Amino acid sequence: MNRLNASRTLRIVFASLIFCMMPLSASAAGLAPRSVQLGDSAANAITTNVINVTTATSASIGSIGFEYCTTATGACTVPAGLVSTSASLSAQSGAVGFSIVNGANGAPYLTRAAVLIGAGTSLSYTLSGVQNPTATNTPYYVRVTTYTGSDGVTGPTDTGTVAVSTAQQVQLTGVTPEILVFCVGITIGADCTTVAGSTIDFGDFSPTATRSATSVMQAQTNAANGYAITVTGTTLSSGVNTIPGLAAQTASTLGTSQFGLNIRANTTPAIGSDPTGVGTGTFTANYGTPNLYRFISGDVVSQAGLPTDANTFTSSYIVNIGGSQAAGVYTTTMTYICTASF
Amino acid sequence: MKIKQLTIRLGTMILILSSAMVPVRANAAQIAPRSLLVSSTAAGSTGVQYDFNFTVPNNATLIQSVDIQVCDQAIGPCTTTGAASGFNAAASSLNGQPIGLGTGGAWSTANTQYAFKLTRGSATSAPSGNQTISLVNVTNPSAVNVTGVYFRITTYSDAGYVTPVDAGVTVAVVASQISVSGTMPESLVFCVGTSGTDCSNMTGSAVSLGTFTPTGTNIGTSIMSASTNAASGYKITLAGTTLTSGLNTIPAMGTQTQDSSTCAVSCNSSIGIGQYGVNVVANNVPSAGGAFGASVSGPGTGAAFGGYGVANFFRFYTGDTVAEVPTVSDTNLYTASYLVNVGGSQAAGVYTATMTYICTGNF
Repeated sequence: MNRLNASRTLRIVFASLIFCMMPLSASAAGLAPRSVQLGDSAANAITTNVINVTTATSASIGSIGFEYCTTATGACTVPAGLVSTSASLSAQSGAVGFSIVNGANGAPYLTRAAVLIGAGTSLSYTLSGVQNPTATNTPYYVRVTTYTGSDGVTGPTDTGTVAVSTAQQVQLTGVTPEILVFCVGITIGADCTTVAGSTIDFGDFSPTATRSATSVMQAQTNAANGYAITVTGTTLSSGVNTIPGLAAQTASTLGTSQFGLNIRANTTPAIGSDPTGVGTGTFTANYGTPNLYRFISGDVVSQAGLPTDANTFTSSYIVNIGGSQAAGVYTTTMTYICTASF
Repeated sequence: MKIKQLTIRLGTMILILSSAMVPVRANAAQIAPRSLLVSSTAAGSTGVQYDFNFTVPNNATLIQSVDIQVCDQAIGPCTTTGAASGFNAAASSLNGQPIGLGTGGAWSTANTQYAFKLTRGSATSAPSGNQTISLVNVTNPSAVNVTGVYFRITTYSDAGYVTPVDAGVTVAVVASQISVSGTMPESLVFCVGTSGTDCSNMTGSAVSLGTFTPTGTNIGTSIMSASTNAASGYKITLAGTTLTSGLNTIPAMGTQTQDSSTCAVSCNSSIGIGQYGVNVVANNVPSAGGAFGASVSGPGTGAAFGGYGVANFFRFYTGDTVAEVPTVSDTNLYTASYLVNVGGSQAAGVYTATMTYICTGNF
């Protein structure tokens, strides 16, 4: 019994719903599909409105009206801040020959001598110079109506409403500071976050063999005049005894005490690499000839004359000794200094 | 919600009808309970269904006919010039055989304008349980009358309406109809901000990307919410310029045509290289500190679009569609993730860009 009553109640509900769904007005057919594309969604922006509609009715059309309203239906209140009185018709397609009448704010219309437009015709009109409403993140509505008359009033034929919305613009801000990224080590990956090591052990020196080793460094800067990398330190020393540093670019010579370096890929001995990376930094002339080595404290070994992305440099060290070189543990510390010129 | 409210109203109306209690004939036992359910209470409605529900007290007597008279009054002489005026059952018919009146021959009707008259040639068992008589194609009284129209129900043991068994009266009110309606207009709800969950609480407009470095990645996020009842959904496009400081810019990520195979439309993050890009999905970029951004959320069916929809890949090209839905959609919340890398040569300065999101509904 309860099931029967429920069933009957539903019948009444459906009957009432059908009544509720009866169309309120059949005075004009619907423009569909339809859209309004804003050139800019910012509040108060003066922008383009590209209005696309497709007609439902074949009729002789003399005008097309655009009402800008705060609501989709009912009395039309123009959204605060919206200005259409300076709008121009900058493009038209589908049905052409229109000019704009923009005297009434929020209700511009296009006019021409009436010409037949077939049903299902896609129309597109670009209104330029329409100022968006003042409220941000707020919807408003464009009610589009075609008229048989040329006055934007007479003979409404097809109509459709499009919802549009202003939107808050997102302002992105970031700071690029003065940059000098520089690192030194024994090994390095792609960048300075992976550099490691600080010690080189040449092993036992010999008059019959050249000892060699490498270190690495990477530099980049946004300084307008680039950077310069200098090397400072003393030559290899053990107490009062030293292995002479090469005061000029010199080839490696067995049996002659010498200590030097360069920034190139060498074959005698086979050691080192040329600079790598996307930057424009490079070696200086004094340290830029393969197989020729030099060491003078304070020399510039690498440089860039402009802002540059990262370059990796490999310092190649060679040590030779004469047979009379005093026994001992020889050490030195190489200090690289990168100076940016902003 | 509207359906629920309407159901409540109808339910209330039915309760009023079934609770109307009036005196019964003295020469027969009282039928109780009894009620009348009508499919429409509108004055003058035609094709109305009347369902009488009652329980006869006498379960020992066989029933062969039922007479339901329609009157202006509950008792006394029956007139039809008042509330009942315009009622017409002459063309009505049974909506199926009555229920609960006992077995026997088939029921037929001999209805008149103001009376439902049911009869059958034989009865083989007495009534049991609840009885239901349903009739269709009835015309309601012609005028609204709040005092109601009375339906005097009498059962008879013979087929000719002579020997009454039980009787009762129920009432129906011909009521003014209440039209319930509402309008759902074209809807496009869209908002952009930096915090909030939907367009009712979204705020903010500034995203600070911090201090750029060639050895790390800078990130930021904004949010936007969209829904529409446009038949063909919506598209959200992004307009603006890349990050700029005077004449200096940070290059946009991704090739600048959608179909290019280079950089797969969008690019992954590489520290030490000038890059600015956007996407609308959840990311995890170690050089940026790990996870940032979020997947599209909400009950809608919107989704990130094209080169803006792949995790850890970014792109920026003004005018691009970043998200869309091809049909009506409830609310979706999108998180736009911004990523910046700089090379060591990137000129010092404060870099800014304004991102403008435009949502276009296709109705």
